[in-house]
Parts: sequence; C-alpha cells; structure tokens
Amino acid sequence: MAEQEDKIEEMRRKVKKAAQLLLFQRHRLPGVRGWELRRALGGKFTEILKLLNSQLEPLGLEVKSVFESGQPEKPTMEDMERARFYIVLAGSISPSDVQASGWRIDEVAALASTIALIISRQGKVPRKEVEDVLREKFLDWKVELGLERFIRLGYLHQSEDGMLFLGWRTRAEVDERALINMILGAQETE
Amino acid sequence: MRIIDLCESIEAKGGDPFDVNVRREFEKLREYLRMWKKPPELVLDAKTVNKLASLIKLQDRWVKYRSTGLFLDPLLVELKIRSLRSETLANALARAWHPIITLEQLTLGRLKEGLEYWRKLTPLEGRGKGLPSPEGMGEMPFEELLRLGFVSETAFNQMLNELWDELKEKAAGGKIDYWEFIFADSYEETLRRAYLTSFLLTLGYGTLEVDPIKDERFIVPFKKPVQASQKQAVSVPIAMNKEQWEKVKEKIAKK
Repeated sequence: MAEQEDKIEEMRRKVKKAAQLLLFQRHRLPGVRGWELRRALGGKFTEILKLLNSQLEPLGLEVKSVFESGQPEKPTMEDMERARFYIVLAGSISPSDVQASGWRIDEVAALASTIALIISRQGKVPRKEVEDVLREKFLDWKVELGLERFIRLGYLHQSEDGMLFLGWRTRAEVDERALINMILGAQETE
Repeated sequence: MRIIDLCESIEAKGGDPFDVNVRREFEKLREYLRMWKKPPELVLDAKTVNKLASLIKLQDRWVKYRSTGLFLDPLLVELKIRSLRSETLANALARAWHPIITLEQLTLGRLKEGLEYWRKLTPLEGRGKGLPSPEGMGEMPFEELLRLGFVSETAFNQMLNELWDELKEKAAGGKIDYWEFIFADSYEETLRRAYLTSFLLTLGYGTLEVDPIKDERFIVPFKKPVQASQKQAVSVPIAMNKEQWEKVKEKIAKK
C-alpha cells in the first residue's frame, strides 16, 4: 500500500516537473526537446505527458509535440526524443483576442495568406511571389514589414536564396489543415 | 547543361518533377557518355546524374505529398486568398491558431552573461577615444570635383548635350516616359542615364511632368534651355533599385 502511495507521489512530482519544464522558457526558443524530458522525467516521459495533458485539459491547454520531419504515422521513441514539446492553447482564439494581444487584423490576414500559400506549394515559395500576392491586398510597406516580423517571430523562415518556409512557431501553433479548410471553405467575397 | 538547368529550375520553383522524363534523359546521357574524354566533360556528366537523382527524390516527395490530405491546387488557394476579405482571412487563422503558452524568465546563466557584458562595457566618456576625427567628411559639390580635376566639365557637358539631343529625338516634339528614356541594357548604365537626366532637368534642358493619379512621369524637352529663375523649380525624388529596374525591363520587353 505504502509502495503504491510512493509511486503515486513520484508520478505527481514528475507531472509538476514536466509542467515547469514546459511552461518556463529555459532556452532562447520556447519548448523542450524529448530527450531533455527523458533526462528529467525518465524513460516513460510520454506517460507523464499524458497525465499532464489530463491536468491541463480543464484549463483549455494541451501538450503539443512537433516532430522534426512532419507528423509520423506511428512515432518511434527516437522520433519522440527528437521532437519538441510545447504547451499550447487547446481551443481557438477569437479575432478580438488576437487584436488584444497586439496584432492588427491585416497582419493576421497577411500571415494567414502566407502560410496558406506556402502549404499549397509543398512547403516553400519564393518570397517575391508571396509579396506579389500580398501587395494586391495590403500596402507595400506593410507587406515588407509584416514578412520581416513573421520571420523574426518564427512563423516563417527565409533561406539565403529568398525562399520562404513555415517556421518553427507555425508548426507548433497553427493547425495547417484547419487553416486551409477554412480558407477554401470561406464564402465571403470582396 | 540543359538537363541540369531543367532540374535546377524545377527544384527552385517547385514545379512538377514528373515534367521531366528521367528515363529518357538517362538514356541520352548513356548515349553521349562514350564521347566524353576530357575530365570537365565527365564532371559535367556526373553533375547531371546527380541532378537527375535529386529529381527522383523530388518525385518521391511529390507522390507522398499528393497522397496526403494536404494536397491542394496552389492556383485555387491563391485565387481564394485574392478574393477573400482581410477579416475573413484573419478569422480563418484565428480559428486554427493555438498559441504557445510560456513564461519568459531570467536564468542564472543569462544573468551571468549580462554581468560579464556590463563589466566589459567601456564607459561612455571613453568610447570615442582612439577613433579618427570625422572632420572633413561630407558631401563634395560637383564644382569642387571639377576644381580638383576628378571630372572634366567639357566631357560632362558633352555627355549632357548628347543626352539632350537623344531626348529631343525620342520625344519627337512631345514627351517621353521617364523610365523608358533612362532605361538601358544594364542597371549601371540606367543609373548613369538617370543621373545625367537629373542634371538635364535641373539645368533647364527640359521638365518633368508628373501624373500622381496614374503614377507616371514624363520628360518634356525644351528647344532651348530655360533658366531656373524663369520657372518654378521643384524637386521630384525618384528612387531606383535593381528590382525596379528589372520590372521596367519586363515592361519594356512586353512593349
């Protein structure tokens, strides 16, 4: 009986540790690598994360894993160790909440368009082509500044040859499939 | 070289890798391989094989991507983006957005880095010491360049006169589009012509007509130079960069 209580206590301690690791930013970028979690929580860190998830659910939060090369069908332990883990908002946010956090509607629209364009072109698109599309809807200087901001925040990544890719933050925060479905399904027209 | 260019173009622009018939290209390479003797020819052959191998890898990715639910027609997505209002696009992202929850904190390591930086930072009064004085630096007027002999007034005037003659000829008694006039085959030459044209207009050999609605600029040459005092002089800044030059080039090529 005492042994079982010890085990439960041990699990509680590990869940707390996992929450601290994931919530406090320890590196330049948020998130924790799987191998770091394994080192701190032991070999069964994925079980601890499941427990943490159940604790976070009532708060509208969840643990999100981002794999290095896309979502594998059945992630192996090696995939899990190389993945990056974050705590994200489980539900979506309202446009007014987005504005309240310092984003302008046209900036969010430009980011949505850029992400959708990149997804539709299999993950990369020349920056110039993105600029051409955005310039039809937004002012020139806003396009330029917007793209720079998205790159700085990690939503986009730009290669030396001027190609734009999805950045680490988009892969962590944006449900790509949902975004595309919503854009394609939207009916309003200008 | 053609095969390499084709492969590189598909790789860079993200075109359909199945546009290239890899088997046929390999057969061609095999056919020509017997003729290659010199090392550069063999190197080129190896490079082509390498590019074709990369293309096969792209084809593999293409098939995998098409088999996923995320396959989309890029044109359809682009058209949809163009047709939707900003609010609708923003709403779509907001509904698919799950921001990361994190708390930034100052770690002991960062605190040590900050302390180290502070220790090494030179006091304000000591920062400018040892640097050469910026005295004498600044913009040199054209007259000064002439006086020092860096440019020749005769040669410069000759260039201006030649350009004025060309302007009168091209405008044919009317006006000519500014970009069309200054455009040359190279970016550097275009800059040179823009520079000389600014002198022509400042010295009263012609004037610039600006249509702010259509954002067009035309040069109207005068038959005789008009002194600056005889007309109301205004400065019109025209920015130019390589990208803009490329656009003008495309526009002129279309014409």
